[in-house]
Amino acid sequence: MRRKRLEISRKGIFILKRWWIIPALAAILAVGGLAYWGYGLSRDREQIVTYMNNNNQRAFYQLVDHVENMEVMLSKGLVSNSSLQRMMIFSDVWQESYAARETLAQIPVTGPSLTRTSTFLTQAGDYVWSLAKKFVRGEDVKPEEIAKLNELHTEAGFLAAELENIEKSAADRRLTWGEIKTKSEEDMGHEVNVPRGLENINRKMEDFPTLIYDGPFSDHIINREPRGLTGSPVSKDRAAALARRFVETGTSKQYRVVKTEEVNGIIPAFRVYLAPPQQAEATVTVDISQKGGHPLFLLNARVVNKAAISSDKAVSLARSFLEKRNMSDMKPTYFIEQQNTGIVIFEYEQDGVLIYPDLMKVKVALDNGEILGFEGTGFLMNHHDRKLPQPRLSESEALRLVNPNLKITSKRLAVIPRENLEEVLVYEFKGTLRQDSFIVYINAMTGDEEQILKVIETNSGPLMM
Amino acid sequence: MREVKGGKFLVIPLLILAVFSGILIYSRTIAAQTPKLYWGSSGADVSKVQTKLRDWGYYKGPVDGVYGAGTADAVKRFQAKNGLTADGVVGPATWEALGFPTARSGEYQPSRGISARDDIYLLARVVNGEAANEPHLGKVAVAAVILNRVESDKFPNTLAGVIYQPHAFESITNGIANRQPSEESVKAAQDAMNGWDPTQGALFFWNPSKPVSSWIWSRPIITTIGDHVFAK
Repeated sequence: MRRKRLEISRKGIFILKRWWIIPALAAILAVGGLAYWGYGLSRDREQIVTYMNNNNQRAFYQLVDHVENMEVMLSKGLVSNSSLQRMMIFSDVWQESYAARETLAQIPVTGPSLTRTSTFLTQAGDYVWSLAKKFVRGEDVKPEEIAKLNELHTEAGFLAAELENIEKSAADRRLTWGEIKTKSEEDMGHEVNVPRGLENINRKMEDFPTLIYDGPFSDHIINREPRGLTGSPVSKDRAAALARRFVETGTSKQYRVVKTEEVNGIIPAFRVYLAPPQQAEATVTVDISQKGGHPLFLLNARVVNKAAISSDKAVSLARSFLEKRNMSDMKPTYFIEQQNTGIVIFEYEQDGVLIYPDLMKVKVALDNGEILGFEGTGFLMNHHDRKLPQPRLSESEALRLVNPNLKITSKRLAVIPRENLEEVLVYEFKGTLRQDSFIVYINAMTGDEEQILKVIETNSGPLMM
Repeated sequence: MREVKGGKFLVIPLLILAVFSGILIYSRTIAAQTPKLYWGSSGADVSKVQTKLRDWGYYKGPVDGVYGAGTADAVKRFQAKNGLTADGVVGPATWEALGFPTARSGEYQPSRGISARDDIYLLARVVNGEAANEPHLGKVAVAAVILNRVESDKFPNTLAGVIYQPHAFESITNGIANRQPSEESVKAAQDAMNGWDPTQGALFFWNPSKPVSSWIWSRPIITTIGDHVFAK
């Protein structure tokens, strides 16, 4: 009885209200449809805006890179004392200037100021290109040409520094978003349209190296057979035990193996996750090569507190870390300090000759001196028994081939890799020109200028370009 | 969410302004000489000095191009701090200390602060966008993949080229990578830059719980870290 009444009343309501239900539904549908359409539009717009942003940001970051490279290469060209080397450096400068101009054109700003920068890039490129051609013809550089180069170098330095400042203010948000918006609207008067081709970036401009600061000759190891991987295969359990020993040696701590996994990269390895004493979480990772059980990689993810130990102390701790693990004859060559940690780069030393391809890196926590990281892939890829030749040039003969303007601060024999990974015996001369530091490598057999590196002191340590 | 959205829309004006102002500053430095400035001077050169002093925290007043008491005070403090005669007059030495060398001769001028800072920051932003919730090792791994791509001949050869390659990274496509990176992400980017590569040369990574193209599973898998699969 009750149920029936309910049905009637429901039906009654329905009939009673039916007159407005349909238009209401239609209205809701219309509003919903409109909202969906609008949402679609705004989503599309957002996607396009993001896409444009990305293109602009890419152009901006690449411009910074190219101008920085120009500055560095111009300075190398000034330090070089060999026509051949200068010729190569100058053709690189020309390519960089070309690339910089291309990227500048990607940035949606027009006006006379831009033309000026573009003119500078063009002129610098053309000028060094004309010098490179002179070298090909075997002509000498005149003092006024060097003076002109110095000017170009200074200008490139200005441009690089200004671009970096811009990047910094953007990154640090020193200019707040609000300010930027109002200011850019004031400056530009109206929103700028960006109707540029979406993917018109010339392939040519991407053929330049970026900067990875990893020691002067860190190798980039792809598709190569490791040369230093000796020994027979180890089991998973053995790898875990080796990983523990690698971390524990020289400390009183006992680590717990949380899990062991396989890693099938360049050097097949077991990855061992270790938990420090009284900790549940595995914060330490160690890779042990499947062949020979060599340690490849160590990374401890713990938070590092305020630095309390000196860089000298950090270097000696890193050195003793290697020695205790029977990694002898490793000589510390560079130190980088960042975020309360120190990175020490070690090179193998054979009969007093520094072997740059055989490098290891150790990361030290500067709060208590604990070793937080180890990187031995480069060493294992390259290390082998080498028969070093007797240098055909004496040190003083080689020194005479170096630009006399460079104030030499240190000299030694070393082995460096060429681009094709061929190894050459060289004299390494470190020196300064005004406040800038350079390293010049003279082939010990032929006297050719093999390589010039510019050392850039950053807040976190030296940087090689 | 609001902040992100705002950020996305404002990057364009930021970049435009940034590049524009930088180019202006730059063109001015090569165009203008560096005249002696003192109380009563005015013009663009005064603005230039005021801007520098304001950026470095010596000057609090407006950048109006008028050399008044405030500017003179700031200049004096700057001079005292930099071992110059604190006379409030911007001469060659002060111009030089402000970062505008006066000598335009053919002498070699030392470099002015090239750094890897922009690279680390850019890398950290993508790490933040792609792997914010991953463990430290997983963050380093994502950064390492990006750097491996820069080295690989299959990808563009600059960091920005790799990162902004269309549809290469989801967080770039949807703009999430424009957020300020966490300190964790910056540290991970640094570890990767310093040569630590937990992926041992990987060029690809993906999250298997998200829809990915089936092609990607044909890549030889190197390892899994956190939620990401890494492959050659």
